[in-house]
Amino acid sequence: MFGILANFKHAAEIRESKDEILVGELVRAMARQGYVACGFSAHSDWQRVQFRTVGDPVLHHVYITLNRMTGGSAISEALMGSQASLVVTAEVKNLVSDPDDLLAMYRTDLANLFKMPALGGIKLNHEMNSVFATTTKYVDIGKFVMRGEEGADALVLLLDGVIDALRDRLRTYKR
Amino acid sequence: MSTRAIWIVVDGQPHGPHEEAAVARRLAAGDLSGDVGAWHEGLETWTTLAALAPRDATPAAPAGAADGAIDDSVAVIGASSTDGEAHEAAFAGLVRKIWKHFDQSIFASRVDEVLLGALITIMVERGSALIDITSDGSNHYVRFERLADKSRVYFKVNHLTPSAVAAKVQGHLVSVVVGYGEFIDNFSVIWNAIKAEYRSGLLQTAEPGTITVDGDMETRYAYVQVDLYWNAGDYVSDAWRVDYARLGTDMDAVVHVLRKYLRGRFRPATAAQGGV
Repeated sequence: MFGILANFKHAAEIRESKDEILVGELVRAMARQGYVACGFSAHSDWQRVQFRTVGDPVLHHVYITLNRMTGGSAISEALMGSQASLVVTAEVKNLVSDPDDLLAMYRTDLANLFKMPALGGIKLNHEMNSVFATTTKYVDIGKFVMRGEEGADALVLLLDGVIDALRDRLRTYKR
Repeated sequence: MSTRAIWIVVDGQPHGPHEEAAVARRLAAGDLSGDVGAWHEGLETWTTLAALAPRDATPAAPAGAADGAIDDSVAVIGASSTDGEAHEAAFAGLVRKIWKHFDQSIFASRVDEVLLGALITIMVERGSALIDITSDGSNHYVRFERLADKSRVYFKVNHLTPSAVAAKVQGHLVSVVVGYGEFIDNFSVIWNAIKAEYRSGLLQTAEPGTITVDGDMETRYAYVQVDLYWNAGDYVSDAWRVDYARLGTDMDAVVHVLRKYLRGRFRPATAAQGGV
């Protein structure tokens, strides 16, 4: 009985940890592309990792926020799988010091206050010296975790495509 | 001698008060036009700077006033476009200098999290899954499981020198507690680990190299752990480059010793088995 309970407990722990496992896979996938994890915010239902884009000609940081939506319990996972949203934000940082540029950024900040993000699209935002582009992807965690190299390659492919799109969108804002 | 407080018109709005001496000096230097509207207490209506009768001719600026804040303010307000460009270029230079210090400060405060990311990368590359992560910015905890044999490794990372000044003096110091655990199918072994955990708790301070023991009856894991201090700067360069090979080698050494200790103490029959 002791062994059965322990094994059941262990299986439940791993199932509940799938979002954390995906965070680990995200960090590894980003490292394979040369991005260095430099900030972590970890909570029970969401995690955010900040990456430094070392050597990138356009981007300064990339932020990935993982929100687990389903799959925390055995029933939920059986019915709906382990669904999660990945909010990916790329940041261009300009060392703005020209008063005209500062004024231009301020006006854009004001304009952005009243804009809602388009579903599946890329939202732009200015904040002080930075311009951000954000997009959201909905993923099945099971496609990427506990699948060895196949899952890792799929995650690299997904992130590569998303970050490329964000970089293209932000390129014109890099000074 | 007292000086009057002068208000001048800038972009149609009253601006001031300014020290009379500074205004007079800028007027004489041509930085301010005599047509600029001006007023001081005692006047019934606005007039121009040129029309303001110099009460005591042009008073000498008090010592140090040339570099005063009000003086600079007037200079910018009344500057010609050429002077404005010079000021803006100077301002840009000042901001650029600050960025260098700002980047150093950010690096010093974040290097522990870079180390954490590097640990995650190495562990996942070696086939372990990250199953737990908590972080409040300075105190971090990550736990991994090698799904093939259920063995676990955890790291508690605490940043000790998050400021640039402290890091300059002491290096990028982090306290790192490394733990290693195994799933053990034996009630008495877990019970022994829990008893050892109690004795470990009697240690007031973990001295270097001291290995303490922990047991968890609910999940049936026995753990051993060791307290270390690492210099994150040994593994992360100022250019945010990570030396994964060096960190991996040091991590392997610690985990190897912990595994050997745990198996030697609780699972003598498997003590010879290896692998991170």
